[in-house]
Amino acid sequence: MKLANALFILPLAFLAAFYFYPLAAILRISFAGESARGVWELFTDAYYARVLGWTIFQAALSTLLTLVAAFPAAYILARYDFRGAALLRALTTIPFLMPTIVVATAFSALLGPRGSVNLALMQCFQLEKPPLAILNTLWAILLAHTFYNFTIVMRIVGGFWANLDPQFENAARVLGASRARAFWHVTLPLLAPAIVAAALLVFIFDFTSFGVVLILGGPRLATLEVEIYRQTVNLFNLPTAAALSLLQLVCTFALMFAYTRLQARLAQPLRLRPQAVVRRHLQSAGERIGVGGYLVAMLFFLMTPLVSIVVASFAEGLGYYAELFVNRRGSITFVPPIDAVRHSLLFAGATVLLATALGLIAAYSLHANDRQPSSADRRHSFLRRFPSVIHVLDAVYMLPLGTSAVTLGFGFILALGDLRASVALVPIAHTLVAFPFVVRSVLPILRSIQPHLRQAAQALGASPARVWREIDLPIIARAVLVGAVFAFTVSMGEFGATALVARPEMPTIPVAIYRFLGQPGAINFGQALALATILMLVSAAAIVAMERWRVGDAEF
Amino acid sequence: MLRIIDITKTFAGAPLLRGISLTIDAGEIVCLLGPSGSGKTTLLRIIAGLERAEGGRVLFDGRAMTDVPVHQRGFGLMFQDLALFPHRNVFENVAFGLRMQNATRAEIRARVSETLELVGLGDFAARDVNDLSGGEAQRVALARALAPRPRLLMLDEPLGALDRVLREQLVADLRAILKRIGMTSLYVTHDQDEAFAMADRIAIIHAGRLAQVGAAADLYRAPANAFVARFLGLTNLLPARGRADGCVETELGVFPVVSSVGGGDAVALIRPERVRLDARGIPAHVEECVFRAGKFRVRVLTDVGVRLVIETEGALGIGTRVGLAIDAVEVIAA
Repeated sequence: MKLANALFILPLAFLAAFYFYPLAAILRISFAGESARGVWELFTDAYYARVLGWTIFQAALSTLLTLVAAFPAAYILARYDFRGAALLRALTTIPFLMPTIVVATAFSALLGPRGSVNLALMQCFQLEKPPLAILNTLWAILLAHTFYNFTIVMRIVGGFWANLDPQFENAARVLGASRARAFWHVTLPLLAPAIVAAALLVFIFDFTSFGVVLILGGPRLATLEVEIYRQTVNLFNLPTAAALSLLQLVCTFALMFAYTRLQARLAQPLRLRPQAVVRRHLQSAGERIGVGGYLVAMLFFLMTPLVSIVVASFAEGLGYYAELFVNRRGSITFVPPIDAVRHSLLFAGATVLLATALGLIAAYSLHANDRQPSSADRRHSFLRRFPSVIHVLDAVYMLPLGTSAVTLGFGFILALGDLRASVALVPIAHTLVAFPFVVRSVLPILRSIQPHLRQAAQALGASPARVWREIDLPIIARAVLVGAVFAFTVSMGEFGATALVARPEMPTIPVAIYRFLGQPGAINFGQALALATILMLVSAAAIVAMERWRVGDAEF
Repeated sequence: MLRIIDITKTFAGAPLLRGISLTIDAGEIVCLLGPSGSGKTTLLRIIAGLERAEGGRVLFDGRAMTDVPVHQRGFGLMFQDLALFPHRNVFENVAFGLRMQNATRAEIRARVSETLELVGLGDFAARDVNDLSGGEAQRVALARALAPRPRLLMLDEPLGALDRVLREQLVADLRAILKRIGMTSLYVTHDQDEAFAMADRIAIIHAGRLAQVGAAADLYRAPANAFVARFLGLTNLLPARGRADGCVETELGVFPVVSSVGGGDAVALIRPERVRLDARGIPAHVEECVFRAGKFRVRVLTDVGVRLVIETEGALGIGTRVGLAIDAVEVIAA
């Protein structure tokens, strides 16, 4: 038990060094200087209010649009039973799990000046210039955010709706309400908590969205997240960036807090029904056309951007891919693009190892508390004396998830000055984001192992180490694997923190894509497409693997 | 074989075991019988090494077990929830203990099939443990515990989760198997029928102490105190005061004593078969009448407010006035 207690310190030490210490550095800079200039300016300088206001505005609008677009999908998947519903549901998840950089590239590939829509229009109407100028407008951001978060609304609202007893609505109808009024006065209020929860989660994602806003919005439309990056990298104005980060931290923590509270309330809903009772088949022709039409439009909206990347990447045959192996500039900061793939795999490998190890230890340290109060070592464990410590610990392990990636990256730059040039920073940053997922994947399975299984093995002659190998390991193996694959996917796609901490000569795939998108010319754009296609395929493979190995329902 | 001496243990600050001593001889089946929460499972876990006692010693063949870790004690243990490993099939479950002993493959195969044969599951080796019926799972758990040839087998309410009919049959089978291989066993249960059917000797645990240890018939014939009597279903107990003439005085009158145990506070135990219906006897009326095992069990309330259970040949309607004559009582410790 002594050894275990010592191990349990590791995740905390990791968080202390690479999460709390960088955050403290941000605070220090914000409150430093002549009379805490950074913090003071937050209240006096209109610049901050403007950035914050804009961030809220675009997030709110994006959220509203997502709700409106996905609400019918929630209804259809909750109330109708038809072939392919499961597949459809799985397909809508793909955009959400794609790296932001892929989504941003996808919309560039679709709607940008060299995008397929514009190219087609130019060819059709013999135009000189691309007719659609959607890039660098609010519209591009709204579209991409809706595309991204569609599945959240569909799943949270639809999931709640699927179990909602239709008798409430029937009762209203019998009492003389029209379908519309029954919906408005009965169903909608019952759905309200789910809608608010979904909206809040989407709002959080839109509020902290980085890649999409940076690439599709451009500097003029910078949100808090993009502005932190711009102030750090382009203007090297660290005090301002620190003040912005502080603002971002306060906002995200407040939002996460609200969401957690809401989710707890959502967990105790009214009378629920098994879904099978509630579902029905499509009946009238009108129903078929309406539902069918909507679903076709939905699939078109969710699939076209991704498909267009792949298609556009092959515009020159394999030309864009061949170009990845060529080092055009020959300077030290510009390596052959294919090296980015190598770097990404390297970092992802390191992230997998680090995140899995830390996640496993963290999961065990949380689990140590809720074992049955029977083990002889109970008295010796500090953690068990104070059950509330465990709850705090549980929340602490999840904190990195509630912190924006760019803030993390910025904190690294401030705090870990000496390490700044170190290659290790990238996998460490990725681990910070990935290891909570490992904890969340492993912990429920760990809790499901009955203590009697381990004791039975012990009584049959297995030493403690043998018990772990024979009982724990085989049972949690799949969950660990899922966590590891998730860590891999997170690392491959992570952009916000990487953009700040990656060394110039060691770009990852997302960083390389971003650089190519910022360069003029078809070759650069083509290489961005080729890299995005590769990243997309890797992510898709990972998604399939996780679906395969997932045990039960992982926590969101 | 197994000797436990003066075991003490507290739970959440309150004493749970207050000094328990017990000896089990080779090949003997002892049942630890007591209501839930009496600490019997804890005692079992202390013997197994899953928990540490705060005081007292566990000796096996004269050797102290206190510092021997669970996995080196060589005791078998069967849980109420059986705890079959869900990720392994029947064969692998039964083979587990043998693998821990580093037995060869051939030994393992031979021993597993021999043990499965013993519990009557000869052709179950390849089955998934999640597909077994309750009785089958129970037999697999028994086979798993027996396969490594433990020096002592402990069973913690192993039939608790099964329905009554299945349980009665399995108790008989279980006893037959344990007796055939001469396994020294300690069996924990809260069900006296199960204990009576299973045990050579029964140890009744109450308030952290052993209230009485002995063969089933001895316990029933001469319960040591009111708790044991009540636990065995002998519920007619009245506070009693001794008299100079050897009789005792109770609320219902003065009765002769057939046997007397111990001193101090005493109660009179009135066995149902010692109560006769007699019109001139103690006035009472019938509250409940149930047919059981060839006779009627009748609960009556005497006019002075004492409830008794008596046995009659014929049914009595509720509210019927009766008179009771009590021939003699036994006096036991309160």
